[in-house]
Amino acid sequence: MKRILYVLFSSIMVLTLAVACAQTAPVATEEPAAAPAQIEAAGEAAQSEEAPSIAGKTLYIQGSAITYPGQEDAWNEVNAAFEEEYGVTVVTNFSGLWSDIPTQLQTAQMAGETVDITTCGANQINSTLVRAGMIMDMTDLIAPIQDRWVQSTFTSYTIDGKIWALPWDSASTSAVFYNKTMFDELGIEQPTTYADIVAAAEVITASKPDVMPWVHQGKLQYMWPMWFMETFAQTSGNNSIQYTTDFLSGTRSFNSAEEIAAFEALKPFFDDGVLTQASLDTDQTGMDTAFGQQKAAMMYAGTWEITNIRAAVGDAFEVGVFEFPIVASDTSVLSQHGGGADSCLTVPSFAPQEDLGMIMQYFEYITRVDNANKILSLASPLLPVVSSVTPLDEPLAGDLNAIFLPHTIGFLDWIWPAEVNDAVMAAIPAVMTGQITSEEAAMSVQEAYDTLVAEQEYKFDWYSDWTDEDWAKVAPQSIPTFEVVE
Amino acid sequence: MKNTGSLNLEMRKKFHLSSKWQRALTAYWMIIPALILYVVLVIYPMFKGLYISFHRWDGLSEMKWIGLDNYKFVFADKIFWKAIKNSFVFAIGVTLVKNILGLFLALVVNQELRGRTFFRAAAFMPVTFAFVVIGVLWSWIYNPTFGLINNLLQAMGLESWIQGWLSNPKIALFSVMVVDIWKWTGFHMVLFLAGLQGISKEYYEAAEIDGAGMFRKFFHITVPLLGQVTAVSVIMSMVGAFVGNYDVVYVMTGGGPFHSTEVALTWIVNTTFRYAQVGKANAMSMILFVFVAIFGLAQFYFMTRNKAE
Amino acid sequence: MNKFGKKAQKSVAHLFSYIVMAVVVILTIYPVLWMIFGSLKSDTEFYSNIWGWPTNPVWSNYVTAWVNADMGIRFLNSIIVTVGTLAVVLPFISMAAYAFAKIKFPGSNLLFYFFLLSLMIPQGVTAIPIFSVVINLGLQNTRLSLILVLSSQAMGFGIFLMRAFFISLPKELEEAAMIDGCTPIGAFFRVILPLAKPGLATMVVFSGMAAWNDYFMSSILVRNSKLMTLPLGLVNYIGQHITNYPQLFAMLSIVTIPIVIAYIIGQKQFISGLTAGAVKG
Repeated sequence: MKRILYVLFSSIMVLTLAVACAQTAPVATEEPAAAPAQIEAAGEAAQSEEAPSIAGKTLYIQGSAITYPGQEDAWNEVNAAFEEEYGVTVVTNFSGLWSDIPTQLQTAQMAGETVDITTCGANQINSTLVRAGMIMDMTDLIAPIQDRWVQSTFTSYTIDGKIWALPWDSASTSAVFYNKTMFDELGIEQPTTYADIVAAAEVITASKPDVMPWVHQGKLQYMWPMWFMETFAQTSGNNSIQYTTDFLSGTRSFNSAEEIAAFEALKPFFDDGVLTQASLDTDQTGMDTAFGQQKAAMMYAGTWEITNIRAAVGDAFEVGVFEFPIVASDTSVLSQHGGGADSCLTVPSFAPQEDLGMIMQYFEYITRVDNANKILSLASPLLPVVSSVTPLDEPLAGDLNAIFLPHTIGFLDWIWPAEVNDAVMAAIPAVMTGQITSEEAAMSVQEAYDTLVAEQEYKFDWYSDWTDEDWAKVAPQSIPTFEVVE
Repeated sequence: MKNTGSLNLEMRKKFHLSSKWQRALTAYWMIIPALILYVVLVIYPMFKGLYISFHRWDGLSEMKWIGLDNYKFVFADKIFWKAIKNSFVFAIGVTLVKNILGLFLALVVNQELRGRTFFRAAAFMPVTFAFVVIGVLWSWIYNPTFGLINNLLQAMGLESWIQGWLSNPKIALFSVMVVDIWKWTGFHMVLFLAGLQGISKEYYEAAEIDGAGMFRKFFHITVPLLGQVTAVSVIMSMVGAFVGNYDVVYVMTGGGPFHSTEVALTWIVNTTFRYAQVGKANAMSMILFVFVAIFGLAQFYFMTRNKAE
Repeated sequence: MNKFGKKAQKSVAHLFSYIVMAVVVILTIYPVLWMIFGSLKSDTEFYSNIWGWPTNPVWSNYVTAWVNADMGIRFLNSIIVTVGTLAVVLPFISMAAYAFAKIKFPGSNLLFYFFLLSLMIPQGVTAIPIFSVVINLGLQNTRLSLILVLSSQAMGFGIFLMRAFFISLPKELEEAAMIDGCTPIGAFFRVILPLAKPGLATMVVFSGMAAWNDYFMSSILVRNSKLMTLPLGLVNYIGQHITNYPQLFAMLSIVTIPIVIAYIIGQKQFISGLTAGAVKG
C-alpha cells in the first residue's frame, strides 16, 4: 500500500513538472483570436485607400488591474469590435498594482516582449519614465485626433513642449466633502476660512462627542502631500507651481518663507482638534466608512472618491462640498486644488515601429463617441478627459465643474521626483503632530533634493541634456496615417 | 557526529572503493545538481548584484560606472542607518521573545498533559500562513475603529490603553514585532521541544535524588543540554530578522510611519523600485549581506563547535 | 520534600500549564476563526458585529471571491509551482545532504558552508539579477522559472536540515545493506531513503510552504495573469476591491485553508523530522 502511494506521489510530481516544462512559452491572455475577418468598410472612407492595411497584426496592451467595476468587460467589448473591423488581434494583460507599472515595463523590455500600449499614471510619466527614455514622443502621432480630448488635460503630460501620453479615465480635483445634513442640523454654515472650520469643529464636538469633525486617510502616507499642496498654493500667493519648478531647477531653496508657512499652516488642524489621532490609522476604506456612518463630519479627498462615498453614504444624509479652507493670512488668495488627469495611455519607446499605424488606429477607434463612452463612463467621469464623453450624473458635478475646476492646478507630485515627495510625505504628519518644526520639515525636503542632485545627478530639465541620439530613441521613425472616423 | 565514511578494508576492496577519490567522486555527483541550481540562480545573481553596485543605474537606461561612490552614498544615507537600527531592535527583541517564549511553551508542553498534541498543532499553525494573509489580518486587528484590539480594550473598560498601534511611531515597530512573534513562536517551541525530548530522564532523576528543586534542575541540566538547539534557534531568528522580514513589514506598514518601521530590507526594496536607484540599493544589499554573513557564520561556528556527542 | 508537597506542586504546575496552553490556543486560533467569521458576514455586519460569528452566513462571498479573483486558475498554478518545486527540491537536497553526511571527501566542510551562505542573502534586491538570468535561459514568464528559482532558494536550509537528519541515522545500516549485496547508491535508495521519511516530510512542509506562500519572487518572474499563483491573485484582489472586506477575508480563507488541512494531516511526521534535525544538527 505504501509503495503504491510512493509511486503515485512520485508520478504526480514528475507529471506536474512535465506540465510546467511543457508550457514554457508565454501564454497569451484574455482575447481569443478573432478570425481575421475581411475588412468591412466602416463609415465613409474605405481603409485601403487612405491608410496601409494593418490586418493580421497583433496589438499588445498591458497595464495594471482595472479597478472600475465593469470596465474590463467594456474594454473587451470594444476590443472585440476593433478586431472585427480591422482584422487585428488584440491581446490585453491588465494585472498587478498600479505602482508596478514601471517595473512591468522594465521586465518586458528585458525579456524582449512586445508592448504596444500601456496604461500609466501621470506621476510615473513625469518623474521616471519619460526621462529614462521609456516613452515614445506622441506629439506628431496624435495630431490628427488631438482635438477629441479636453485640451487642458494634456498639461500634465506635456514635457518640454511635447506630448508623451494620452489622458484617460477621468480628470479629478480635490475637495472637502461634508455631511450637509449634520451641518444644517447643527446650524453650521458652509466654511470658507480656517477659522470657520475651527468654529464648526467646536460645535460638532460639543453636541456630538462621538463624531470626529474631520477624518483623513492618514495611514496612507501618499495622501498627505495633497494637504501641503493646498496650503502652499495659498501661502505662495498662488505661485506654487512656479516656485516648485524653481526649487527643482536649483534656483530656489525649499527652505523659504512660503514653504515653511505652508507646513506651519497644517499644524493647527491637529492642535485645534479638527483632525484627531485616529486619522493617522485610517485608510481609504476606513475614511469613507467613518464618513458614511456619520462618525466623521468632513473629509478631504480627490473627486475620484465620489463613487466610494456614495456607496458608503447611501441615503443616510446629504453630501456637500466646499473648497479647502483659506489658511493663509492674506485671505484674498484663491483656494487651489491639485488635480488633472491621473491616468493615461502611452506607447513605450521600445514598441515596434511597424506597429505605430495600428496603435494610432486603435487610439482613434477607442476615442470615437460610442466607444469612448462605453469605456470611460465606467470610470465615474466627473470631469471627462475626452470631450465626447457624457459626464457622470452626480448632483455635485455642477459645483465641481463650475467652481473647483477653474481653481485646479496640477499635482505637485507630478512634477517633483519620488525622493522629494517622500520627504514631503513624511514631514507633513510629523509637523502636524508636533514632532518636528516647520523649519526642520522644509530643511528635510531641501536635503532630499540636494542628496538627489549629488548622488544621482538629478536634473529637472533633463531634456536639455539630451543628445540627438537620445531623442532618436524615443521618436517615431515615421508618422503613419490612419483612418479617422467622426 | 562522526563522519568517517568508514567501511572496513574488506568491504572497501570488495566494492572497489579503495581510493578515496572514488568516494569523493560519488559525493560530487550527488552534490552537483543542487550545486548547479544554487550557483546559477543564487550565487551568480549575487555577483551580478555586486557588479551593479559599482554603477549608477535606474534599471531602465544604461549603467554608468561610478566605482565605490554608491558605498559612500549608503554610508551617508541617514534613513539606511535608521533602517539598520530598526532591524537590530527588531532582531534582538524578536529573538529574545520568540526563544524565551518558545522554551517556556516547550517546557509546558513537555509535561504529561492532555491535549498536548492539539496544542502543539495549534501553536505551530501560524507558521504555515502566508505573510500576505497575516499582514491583512493583523492590520485589521490593529485597526483603530473597527479592529479587535481596540474594541476589546473598550469592552474591558481599558480605553486609556487604546493606541494607534500602527500609526504611532513610538510603538509601530513593536506592533509589527508582535506579529512576527505570533507567527514564529510555535516554530521555536517545536525546536525546543525536540531538544527537551532528547534529554534523558535519568539526569533529572539523579538530580532529584540529590535534592535539587525545579530551578536547579532547569539551570544545571536543561539549559546546558539544550545548547545545540538553542544555538540553531537563536541564529535562525536573528538572521531571519535581518534578511527575511520584508513581507511582514511591507504588508503592515510599508516602513512607515516616518520610517519608524523601516527595516533594512524594506528600504533596499524601496530604493530599488520606487526611487529607481538600483546601484545604490545593491550596495546596501552587499553591506547587509556581508554583515549578516560574518555575524551569522561566526555565531554558527562558535555555538556548534563544542557540541556534545 | 514530602510526598504531599510534591504532588501539590505538580498539580499547581499542571493547572498553570493548562491555563497557559488555553491562552496560547486562543491567541493562535481566534484570529483565524475571526477571519473565517468575517468572510461569512455581510458588508454592514462586518463593521457592526466585530466579534461573534455571522448571524446569516453569506456563503456567496466565497463564490464571488473565487470567481472575481480567478481562484481556480490561481489554485492550479499554485499547486503546479509547489509540487514542481518539491519535485526538484527533494531529490537534489536528499542526494547532496546524504553526501555531506555520510561521505568523507575533500572540500566537504567548505561546500557545506558555501550552501549555508544562502541563508544570509537578503531578499529583494537580487530579484532583478535573478530575472535577467532567467531571461538568459529563455524562461521568462513561465512557471518553470518560478519552480527553479524557488528551489534554488531552498537549497541552503534544506541541505542543512537533511544533513543533520542523515547524520542521526546509524551507519551500520548501510554496511548491513552492502553486505547484502547493494552498491552504495543502492543502499541509499533502498535503505536510507525510506528511513528518511520524517526528514523528507519536514522538507516537504518547509519548501512546500515557502513555495505556496511566495509573493515577491512570483510577482517579478510571472506577470501573465493566467500563470499567477494564489498570493499574487490575493494582492491583485486587494488592489482592486478595497471596499469589500468580507470578500477579501473569504479570499484569505481560501488561500489559508488548504495549508491548514495539509498541515494537520502531515503534522506528526513533520514534527518528528524537525526533531531529529534540530537535536543532532
